[in-house]
Parts: sequence; structure tokens; C-alpha cells
Amino acid sequence: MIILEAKGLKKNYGGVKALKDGCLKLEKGTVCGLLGANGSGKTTLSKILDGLVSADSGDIFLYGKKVNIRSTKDSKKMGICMVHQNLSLVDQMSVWENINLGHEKKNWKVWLNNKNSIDNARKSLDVLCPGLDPFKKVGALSSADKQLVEIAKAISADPKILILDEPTSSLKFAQVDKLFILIDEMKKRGVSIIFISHRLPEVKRICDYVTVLRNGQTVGEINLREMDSDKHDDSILYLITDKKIERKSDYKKSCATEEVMLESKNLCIRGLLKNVSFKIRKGEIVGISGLQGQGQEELIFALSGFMRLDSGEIWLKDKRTNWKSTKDAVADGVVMVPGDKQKEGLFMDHSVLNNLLYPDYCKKGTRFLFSEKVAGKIAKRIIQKISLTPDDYNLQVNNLSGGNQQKVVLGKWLNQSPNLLLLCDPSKGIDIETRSELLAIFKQMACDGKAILFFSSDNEELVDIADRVLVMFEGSIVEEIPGEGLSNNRLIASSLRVNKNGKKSF
Amino acid sequence: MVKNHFNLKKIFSNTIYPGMSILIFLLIINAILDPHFFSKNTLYSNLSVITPILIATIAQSIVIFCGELDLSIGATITLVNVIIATNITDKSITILTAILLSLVVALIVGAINGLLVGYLRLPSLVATFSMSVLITGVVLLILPTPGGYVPEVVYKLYQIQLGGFFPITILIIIFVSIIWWLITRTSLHRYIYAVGGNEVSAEASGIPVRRIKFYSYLLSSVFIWISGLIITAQASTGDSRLGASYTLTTIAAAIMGGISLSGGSGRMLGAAFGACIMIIVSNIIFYANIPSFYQEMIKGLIIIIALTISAIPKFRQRSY
Repeated sequence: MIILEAKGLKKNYGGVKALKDGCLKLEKGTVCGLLGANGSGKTTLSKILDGLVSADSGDIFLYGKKVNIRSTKDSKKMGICMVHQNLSLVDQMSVWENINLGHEKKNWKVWLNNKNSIDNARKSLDVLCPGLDPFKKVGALSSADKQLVEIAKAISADPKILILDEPTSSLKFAQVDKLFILIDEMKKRGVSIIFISHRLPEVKRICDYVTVLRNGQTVGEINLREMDSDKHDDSILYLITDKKIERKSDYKKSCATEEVMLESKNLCIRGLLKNVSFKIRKGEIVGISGLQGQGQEELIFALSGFMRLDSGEIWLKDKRTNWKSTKDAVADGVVMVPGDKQKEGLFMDHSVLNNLLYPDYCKKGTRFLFSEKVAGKIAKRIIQKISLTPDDYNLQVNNLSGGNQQKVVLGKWLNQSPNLLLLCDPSKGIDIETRSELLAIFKQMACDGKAILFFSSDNEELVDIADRVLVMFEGSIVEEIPGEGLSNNRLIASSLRVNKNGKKSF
Repeated sequence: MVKNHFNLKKIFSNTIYPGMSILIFLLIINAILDPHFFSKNTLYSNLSVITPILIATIAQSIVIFCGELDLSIGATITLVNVIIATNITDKSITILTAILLSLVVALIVGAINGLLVGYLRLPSLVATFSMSVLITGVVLLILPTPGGYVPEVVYKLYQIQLGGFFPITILIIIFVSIIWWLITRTSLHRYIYAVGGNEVSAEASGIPVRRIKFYSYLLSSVFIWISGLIITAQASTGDSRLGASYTLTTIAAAIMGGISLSGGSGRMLGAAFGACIMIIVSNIIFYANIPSFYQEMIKGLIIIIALTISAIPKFRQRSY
């Protein structure tokens, strides 16, 4: 039985066509994967179904009846709940308040019944993360916990249709497993689920069928339960990209030289980092891996001058550094590309031109009057280098797709000719095609004589590009895997601290 | 391990304690400067001065919780005052109609503010400022020079002490606290905080953001009205400049009470502390025999110092 059907949904943001012809069929008690590259309209489509944005045209049918979803309140009444990617939680409120937000338990329809609400929150938390304190403020949680609270919030409303927008991108392995068990249970209860993700292995594991979007259009549907599972990858990738992608292997050629670019000696931050020492050579790409939140981000923040060290030394090209802020680090050519573009990397409401040139504006010895012409020229050159689409530098950054936004973050450092590039999960939530473009740019930069420290939560990336990988656990480096021995399994094994005999070595 | 009940770190990170400590400190100074501070009359007269500003601060805080500002509070208070003073006579029926009329007018002002800020999405700073200019114009039209008439019953009522010792101001404060307590038991209270905390998240949670902003201005206007009534009873006359100082005083009081201007955090109890601080500062200036030329300057200085202290919990928060 088809429970939800969307036909010909259209949505324009200003002049940008986010969705041209979005179609979707959802059957009762199934999991439908929604796939597509960044900017293909997946999120827009799901937001329309959730009532967060209203479609310009097109129809939505619920149980065969045409419905009009004007607000999130409407969609909640119809039993549609969405787990958002850019979280819908209020930081200042506690976990239980957030979980019940919008559907509080009440006595006589007026007075809040906090006891029932807390019980309700506990019940939905118990399924996903039993240890979490419901009285904690959401702002104090890690990103993985926030994501779990977000999911708990959607479940607690007891939806008939659940939309999950990239729920796994910030979760740990074990948490993903728990989520999938939960999804299976809900499926059996007759809940229909739309699952959006970039991770194909997960999609193949959990989804019954997938709907693929490309450039705002629904281009096809594949039933995963019927076909031979080996062919899925190819046929899905073909639908997403419209061309056959081959794994490029020429990344593997190392450009590493002998000259040491940066050496860190016994870096310590209380409670976060313990005696971290390593060297990065010129032209080398060093990966950082490990489970979520083992100090990888903190290490990168520390190296970029963003976080103060408690002890330890950072040596850059035989000179001891004494950075007091990011400004000093940038002046020495150590720059960071953060993963959270919106929060740390970009001024979303400003133009591409300004975003690309802010480092120039703040540099010492910048002329008091900045020539518009020169700025345009510089921006054009950078845009060519990073192959930004569309290549108009007057565009506002928030009109770009996620992948292109990340290119802008990278591009703003290109003109500074940095020595060391710190990448903090730069391809989080970016589609396969743009990701391979980004990796190519990184490799090119390494071969131009820059050193790159590359933290990624996606092991495949590290296997593809890194010359060697440092595995972190509880704030210290526990293992170094050379380039020859790199594989996905090897990385997982060492981040879980399982040695070759299969025993845990805690 | 024995659980530590007295946690210094927790106290310093709570936004309410700086306001409370400043208040206690200022009260001590006030008590030293004024030998009669603990006498019945002084306490009661202090209470009757604090009550209107306390209620106006509640009105301001509701809007601040929601992430907005109301710069028209002073003007609206004056409007309530002027409407009562020009429409009231000794007949009890006109007292009632004048009071009801002023309530309706206050609600209309709140509704317009709510429409402009909530539904038309104008920045509250500018929208409510324009409203205050407009209202001030209306006030001058109704009552160009101070005057009007307030019957004896009204201002006598405000000085009543029930049973000879229980002043009516305490009754008003208890009444207002109960109203606010009831509001905190409704989802509106939580939605106001959610909207102030993160508008997009609130919208995504199925909260009608525009309507909540509208309601918060409307609710706030009820408290403004109560404050206006009290001020009228206190002044026992109509004056077109009566409420002017209230707008910014209430904002300062709210911030001193640990309420964040960006919305979504803080507690009403803090706002009450802030309102008391503002009055006690004036008291101290008065009793310290400071030459009148310096009074305003020193008042401003004390407020700045108090604001700085109340910002201490935020020093420790890092921006990332």
C-alpha cells in the first residue's frame, strides 16, 4: 500500500532551482533510501514533506488523498516527523525539554505535565543511548549525542512516516547499529521511513528500495531486494552521477620529501590531548583516524592556534613557534579547513568574493584601499583552481551547494600559499563526485610542496589519499599505519584497539 | 566519593547569582547609609517604588526571552497613565471603564508590536522604537500638559496596609508572581524560550514562531498595563513624561538579572533582582549626599560596574 506519494514538486530559492521535478513513492512499512549528489534536492524534497518549506508547485498524496502541508505543525498532525541534518535542537534547553518540544504532555490540555514528559524522554532515550542524562543542557552534548537526541525527539512523537536526513554522519559504529535495529523494529510496526545518506554500504544494508535524485529531478528507483546485490553499486552510482566513476588510483603516488615541515613534541591539553608527538614532511599527506571524539579535532585546533596548549612544543621548519592565536598561525602559513563550514569556515550571507579574500583583508601590509578590480582578478584565479560551479564570485555563499561551499573554504587559503594545511573532516556530508574533486585538489597541493594533516571520519578517504595514518585513542596517538598497509579493515581494527589476534588491547 | 553539595564552579556559572550578590551588597550599603532602612515606613516606601519597575521588567523580560526587545514600554506606560487621568471621574463606573479602556489600549499596542515583529518580521529594535515615538505623539495629543484627574480612591488604595501592617504592594507582587508561575506551567512559556533560543529549530519542531512572538508581545502588554496602573496610583496625576525612563531601565535590569539579550535563557527571578538593584542604586545616591551635579554620572557608573559583574558567568564561556 502506498502511504505517501509526491508528484512533480518544484521549489526555487531566488534564482536557484533547488527542486525541478521531485517525485517519491513510499510504501507502508518499508525503508526508502533517498540518494543523490549534494545540491540534487534531497534535503529540499524532505523539507517540503516535513512542511518546513512550501513547494512552489506539485502535489502530495497521503493515503491516496491530496493534502496541503503548510507548516511543520500540519505535518506533525499527519504523523510525519523529520530528523534534521542541521539539528532542530535548542542548545539552551535540557535534553528532555528538547525531546518533547512541540508535543509536550499536558494535563487538561493547558498545564504542562513535566513528569510525564521526562518519562517520555527517558523511554525514547533508553532505546538509543541509555546512559544519557535527560537533564543535561543540549548545548553541552557532543555532536553524536545531539544526533541521537534528535532521533529520540522524532521517535517520541510516535510518527507514521519518519524522515531521516543523514542521521549516521556523526554517529559511531555501535550507535549506527543501534539505530538500524530501531529502524527494523519500527518497520515491523508499520512505520514508513525515508532514509537519506551518502554512505552506500549503509543504504544497501537498511533500505528496501532507493529513489535517486539528480539536479532536482527524480531520475529513477531501484529495488534493492530484487536485484543481485553486486550490481547495486554500479547502477546506483550511475543514476546519481550520470556517468561511470572509476576509483582513481593515481592519488597513491607519494610526493613526500625528506624535509620536515612541522614537528610536534608532547602536546598536552588537560583532559583532551596526551603527549602527542609526530612529524609531517613537505609534500606529505598525513591522515588522522580513530573513533569519534578521541582528540582528533582538538589536535587540529591546537595546531591551528585555536586552542591553547597546556604544555608541549610545536616546531615549524626548525623554528619553535609561540602562537597565541589563529592569527599568528596563519601568519606562519598554518591554516585550517574546518568541517563545520557554516559555523567555522564561512560567512554564509557574504559573497564568494569576500569569503575568498577575507584572509587577504586581514593580512599585514594590506593596502588601506582595496582595489575591486584586483580582488576580482584574484578571486577569478582561485575559482578556476578550485573549479567552483557556478563560477560567479558575486553569488552569496549560502546559495552554493555543500560541496562547493567547502571548496570556497579551501580556496580562501590558496592565495596565502600556506605551508601546512589542517583539514578537519572536510568532506563531511559531501557527495562522491565533489569529494573526489576535493581529494584531487588536496593531492595537487601536496605535490606543490605543502604538508597536509588530514583528519577524516571516512576511512575510505584516508585509504585513498594518505601517505600514512596516525590512529588516535583517548587523546594520544596509539598507532601509525604506513601507506602500504592501509585498508579500511585495518583502520577500523586499530581504532577499536583490536590487535591482529582479535583481542582488545585496552 | 561524597557528593559535593556546595559546588563553587556551578554557582559561578549560574547566571542568577551575580545579580543576587550585587543586590545583597547594595542593600548592605544602603542600610549603612540610611539609619532608618529597616523601619516599617522606609521598607514600605521602597517596596512601593520597586513594584512598578519590577512588573515593567517582567514585561520586558518576556519579550527578551523571545529574542526581541521592546523599546515602547515607557511610552505605553505613559499612555495608560494619560488615558486613565483624562477619562476618570469620582463615579465608580467611570473608574472601571477608564481602567478597562486603558487595558484595551495597552493590548492594542502589544498586538501592533507583535504584528510588526512577529508576522512582518521587522527588527524589534526599530519597530518598537517607532511605536514609542508614535505613542508619545498620541499621548501629547491627549494631554499636552501635566494634569488630568485621579480620584482619591485610586491613590489611597495603593497606600492601604491590610490589617495595619500588610501593604498592598506585597499583595500585588504575590499576585503577579502567581500569574507568572501559572504561565511557566504552560507550553507557551517553553515555546517562548525555544523561539528565543533558536528560531529555526523551533520552527522545525512544529512551533508556530510568528504566533509565539505575537503572543509574547501581547502577554508583555498585560504586565505593562499593570505597571501603568500602579504608576498612575502612585503619581496620582497624568503626565506625558511619566514612563520615559522605564524603557532602558527595564532592559538594564533584565540583563543584570542574568537574562541574555539574545534570548532563550535566564530566569524571571533574576529580572526581579535586577529591578531591585536599579531602585537601590538610586536610594544609595540619594542617601550618600552626593551633589546633584554628579548624581546621574555616579548612577551610570554603578550600573556599568554592576553589569560587568553580572557578565562574569559569560567570561568563562568560550566562543566555540
